[in-house]
Amino acid sequence: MSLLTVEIAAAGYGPATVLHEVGFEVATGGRLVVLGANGAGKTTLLRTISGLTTVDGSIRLDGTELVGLAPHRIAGAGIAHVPQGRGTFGDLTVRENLLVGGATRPGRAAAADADRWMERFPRLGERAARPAAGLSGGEQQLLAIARALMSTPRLLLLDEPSLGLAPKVTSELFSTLDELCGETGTAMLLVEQNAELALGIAETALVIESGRITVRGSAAELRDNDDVRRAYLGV
Amino acid sequence: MLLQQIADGVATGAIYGALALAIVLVYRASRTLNFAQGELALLGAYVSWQLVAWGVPLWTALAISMIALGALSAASERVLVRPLVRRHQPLPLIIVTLGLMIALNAVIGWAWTYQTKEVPALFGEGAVTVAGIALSRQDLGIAATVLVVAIGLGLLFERTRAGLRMRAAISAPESAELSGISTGRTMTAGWAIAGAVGALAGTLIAPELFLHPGMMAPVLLYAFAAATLGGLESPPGALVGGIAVGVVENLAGSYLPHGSDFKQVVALVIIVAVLLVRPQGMFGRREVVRV
Amino acid sequence: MTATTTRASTARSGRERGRSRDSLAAWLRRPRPPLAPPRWLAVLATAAGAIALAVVPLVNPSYINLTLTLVMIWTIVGLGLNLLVGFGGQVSLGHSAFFAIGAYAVAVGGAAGLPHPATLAGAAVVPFVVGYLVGLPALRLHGLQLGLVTLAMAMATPAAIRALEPLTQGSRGIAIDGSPPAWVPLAHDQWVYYLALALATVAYVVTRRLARGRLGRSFVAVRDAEVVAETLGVDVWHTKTRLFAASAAYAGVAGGLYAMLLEFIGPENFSLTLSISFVTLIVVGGLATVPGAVLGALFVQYVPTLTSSISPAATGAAYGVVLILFAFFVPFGLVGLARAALGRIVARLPGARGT
Repeated sequence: MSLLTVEIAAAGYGPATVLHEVGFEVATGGRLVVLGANGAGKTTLLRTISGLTTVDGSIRLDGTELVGLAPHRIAGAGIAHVPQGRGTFGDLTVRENLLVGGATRPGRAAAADADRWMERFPRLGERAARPAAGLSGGEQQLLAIARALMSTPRLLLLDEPSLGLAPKVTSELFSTLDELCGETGTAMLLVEQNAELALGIAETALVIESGRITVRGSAAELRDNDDVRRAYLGV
Repeated sequence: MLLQQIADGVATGAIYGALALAIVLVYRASRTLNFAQGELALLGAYVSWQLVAWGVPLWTALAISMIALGALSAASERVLVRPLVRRHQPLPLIIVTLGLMIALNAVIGWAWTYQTKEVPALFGEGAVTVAGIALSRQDLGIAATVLVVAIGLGLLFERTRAGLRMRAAISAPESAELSGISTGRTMTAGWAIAGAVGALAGTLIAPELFLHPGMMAPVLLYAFAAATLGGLESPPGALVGGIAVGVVENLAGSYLPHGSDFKQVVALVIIVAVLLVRPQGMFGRREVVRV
Repeated sequence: MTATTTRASTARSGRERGRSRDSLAAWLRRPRPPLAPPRWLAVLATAAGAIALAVVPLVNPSYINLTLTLVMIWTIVGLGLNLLVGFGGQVSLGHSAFFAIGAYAVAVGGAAGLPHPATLAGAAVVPFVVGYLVGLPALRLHGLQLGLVTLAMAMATPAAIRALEPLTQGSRGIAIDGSPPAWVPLAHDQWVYYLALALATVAYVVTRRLARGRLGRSFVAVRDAEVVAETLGVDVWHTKTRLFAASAAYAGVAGGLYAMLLEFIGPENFSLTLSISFVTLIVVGGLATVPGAVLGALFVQYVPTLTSSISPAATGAAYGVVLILFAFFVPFGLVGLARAALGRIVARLPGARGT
């Protein structure tokens, strides 16, 4: 049974269509990575799933149609989205950022979960009462992921989590991500420039060029695909 | 004498601060100024007055008025403002709230005539003398009421989940929406609170100025000066700004020639000077202008 | 890749329904080119209009001349304000202040014994200079802040007039002798009428040239994309400041004529209501259109006369409702409506100049 079913005929911003004929599925607990050059439409794809674009087509989460729902309803339906640039609430404290992530859940449960996350990541716990704007890039990304998981989503959308991070921080982040999604069984749809790392933690993958899917297959297949190797793995 | 003047300025200043607070709440919610804020407050004053005239106890009347004006303010956000905020056009927004301002004023004039109405003091007559300064019961009551409301709002924003949602929506609207927060709802909530606080300000100031349809125009000017002084984004800044403007206004009225006329010019000067020299106000942080 | 499913087509038809539902609103909001009447019609209409306007004051009772002169005065303000707001994209809710400065320039100049050509020139120059000085700092502010500052200006104007009593005679008001020079064989109302007609005509022609010329294009460039205009070599700040000053000068001249027409003015003539009626004028007439100033002027002159017979509150209510409705549904004002209604008819007339 697939968790997310995407059948987009066209999507974009007003008259500008960015995505054409994009269709794929994400299995329950599955991990899909989307590769592609800058401007290929990867971010638009995630924004379309979250209801931030105009879309012609159907996007279903567990059979529930998401097209036409407001973004906050889609979030409430079980999709957490870590936008590009992390979307941190800079003037809210670290703890408040986590609590906002749990806004759709009962207060007590959210508060308990926030404390759990801060125990798990002491770097966040130490700065619980400070404005999130003061965190380093890696810490903010960690906070953004923890914030997204606060809503106990069924599907996590991640938009270029490695952007602006040092290579060492990035690989740490990916292993944390791998670990977290493994524990919680959260499905993941990951858009990434760093194909090597992304393919390492994903099961399936697809490549988008100019708003269309050009290659798809298992992560292993794509790693062996010569075109993909040349274009995205730098080999 | 000077201390007395300052003390007198604090109470009216608290009211300016309350109206400035309403302006700030709207600005934070929708990034726009509601030029009708003064007339909404005026309507609140008339509703309170009318209910009291019908025999409703004063504090009940005030509560009803605050709820009614909160609802009206929320409705005007929903119907008139949000479609234009979504279109990202500043000029139609300005025109619409300006239109609302004169339409409301006309409705008030039509419903209650242009005659001045006398409003009894809310906190009784008489004064308390502290260290040689006479503090009227009225002034003390006003300052205390505004303080209580300010503390209540502070607790609402800082200590409740609803307040957290509103702050998140202001801080990063799209991220808030992606976290399952309806930014439309938090916007409307901001306007509703602003409407209620405005109704309070109008009701409090009515006994000081006598109730008539032109009452709120100069008060709105002072409130804009106060909100600007506080940086337009900071609720505590609006309150402190209001008290500062109240004190300056009172001193200008007493010590400048043609003082009562110069007062309004002083408010204009404050607005211009703050926007030019320190647009983030006393409390705001400098914001990068988005292109 | 699967084809679109049934659900998908439902979503699509839902979108189309939405489109047809707001089609009337969209139709009203569509920008349209100015009417392009055939040359014979344009010449004929202009000639007929000119003759009518020239003859009218000679045959009318003076109170009709008074209202017609007011229409021309409002037209001048509207032309200038629309240049600023419509073409320049700068908000001013404070043009009553410049109108007042112009009026008091004529009043104070006249009291000092200056002849009217000089005082009217002063009514243009003084607001221009004040507008420039105000504009220099104020135009660093963006839309909303400028709206706030200018609104505060309008609100403080009557108080400022009272406070400057030695110059303005404060709330006692000040008298102006608006009668024509001895060599002009006209009554007071006719004299001011012709003055206003001449100045309004000049203002109209100048504005049309500005709006269509290089300067007008640089204004619009600044309005639509300030940063882009800057990189294209438009001096944004200077352009804005000059525009603001020019627009203040229009209002000042109109104020000067107003003082000459009424022959007695006081602080209460220059209240916030006046500024609001200026804004209503350009919104109703049509933002960024030149003829809009005339239609808007007719509106603000005659609608209050109609409504005030209903109730003293009706004028404010009418302005408020009209402002809201026009901002939502008729962004190009009465001129936009006229273009929508007459565009096809005019294009079909013999000798029409294409689109």
